[in-house]
Amino acid sequence: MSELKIKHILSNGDCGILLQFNPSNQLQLAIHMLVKDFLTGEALKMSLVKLVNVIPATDNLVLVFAAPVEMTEDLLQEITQRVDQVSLQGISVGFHEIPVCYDQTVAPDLSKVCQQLNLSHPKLIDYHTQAIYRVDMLGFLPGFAYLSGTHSTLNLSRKSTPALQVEAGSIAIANHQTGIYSLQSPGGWHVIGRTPVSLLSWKNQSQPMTLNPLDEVKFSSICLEEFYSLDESNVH
Amino acid sequence: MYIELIQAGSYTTIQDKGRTGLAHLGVPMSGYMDEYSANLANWMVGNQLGAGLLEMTWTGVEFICHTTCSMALAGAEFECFVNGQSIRLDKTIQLNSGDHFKMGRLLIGVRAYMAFAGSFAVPLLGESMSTLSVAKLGGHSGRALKTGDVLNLKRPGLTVVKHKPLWKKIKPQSIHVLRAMPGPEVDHFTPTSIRQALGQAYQITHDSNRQGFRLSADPITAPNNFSMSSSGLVAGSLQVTPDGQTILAMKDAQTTGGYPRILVVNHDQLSQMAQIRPGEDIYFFVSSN
Repeated sequence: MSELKIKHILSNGDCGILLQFNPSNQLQLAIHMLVKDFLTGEALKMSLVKLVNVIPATDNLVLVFAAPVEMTEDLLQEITQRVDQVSLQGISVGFHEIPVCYDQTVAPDLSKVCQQLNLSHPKLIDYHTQAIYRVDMLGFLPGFAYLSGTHSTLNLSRKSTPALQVEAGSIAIANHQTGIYSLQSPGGWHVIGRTPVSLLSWKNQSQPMTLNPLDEVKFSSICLEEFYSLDESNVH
Repeated sequence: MYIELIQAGSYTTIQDKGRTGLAHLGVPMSGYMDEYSANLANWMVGNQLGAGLLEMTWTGVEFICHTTCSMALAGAEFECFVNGQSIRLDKTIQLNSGDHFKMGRLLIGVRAYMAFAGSFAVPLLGESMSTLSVAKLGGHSGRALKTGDVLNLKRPGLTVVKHKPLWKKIKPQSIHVLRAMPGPEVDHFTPTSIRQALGQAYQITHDSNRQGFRLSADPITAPNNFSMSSSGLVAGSLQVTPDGQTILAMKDAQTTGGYPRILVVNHDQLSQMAQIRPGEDIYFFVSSN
């Protein structure tokens, strides 16, 4: 039995279809399996136009087509069948150990976060490196990874004014989550560390991200010298 | 085999058909804002549909051509000069090495498309050369072009001269009617709000870019006690923020959004949308079937 039950199907513009799912135990997992199936499995037979993007969210999925798509009975039936066939068996998730430098020099919000949480610097590193995290979602901006599993002590709401520039590789916390900025961008999370490892590389055009949804992540603390010796952002 | 920019214009980027298959990683599609005009420019120099070209916004470019190459312009219309001589843009332009090309006053529209035969030699990211400047990705060093930039052409050459069909040129209009469909969250708005949204005129504000257009109109009452989870956002989505303002998602919009969408503009209407100026009236038309 599939973990996915469609609540309703709506059009999302003339080129998009929104699948809304009922709550269930393994919903996130099942949605990610469905994304994989749509992206790498067989093409939809009942659609005359090409599927160009599949966008997952917490309890829904949007299919984006290259041109207007007619929501025929046949197409809806085919989509429903694909949803019903999602299987949670045989999933393999990746495990990544990511080196992080927890130093004010590369993590501009670190001291402030320690102060606000009333934690010593070593204690914060302890809390943040002992957990095993899960990649819940990628998105919002290219390569931004949302990780669950952050220690309950390390909780702050987002900054009221986002920083204009957050460096690539920044590890940040907000709302019980840890986020990874794979690219330099503006951002509202509190940066407590930075990894010298590049997590987004275009050498592999169709699979540029190192992290996949549901992968497990552990952070290991490195010192500033190690950070500079490993820094991949200095290569170009 | 390159062109050297003397003036880069206020916001000029390399764009192509866009980046697909990566939205689940948070990578927006990007690509031409006015696909219709971009296709026309590429056709005029014999390029494949979807090839990379320059998208200029409000102001044009000035450059020295360091090769012999065919070039064409479509979309917004500008006064243009080759070596100081005014030229017409209704057919393919043949440039020689050393030629000086300059765009002057903007006459019609907002965005112009300049295609070179053989397109640009820039690295592809996710099989696309479209620039996504918010993420410093793609195009020329991930950014809008600057004065002094040198753009390498991939396979420049002279092509058969093609004439721009008159009916394919954009026309100045003060009222625009754009076809749309009810948005995924339309049922959460009151019937009055929906009637208002479809009855009133909108105008594009200056707070508009490739990510989205902030529109101005009377505020639309946002759904009451409504919390929605984020979902995939497509270009053309008219999002209503809690204060009743509307933002129309465009090509560089983030991949997911959490504001209710009262309507979504049809795919083939976005090209027209990209040429509308602030002050011109926009109406959305949702057909009943």
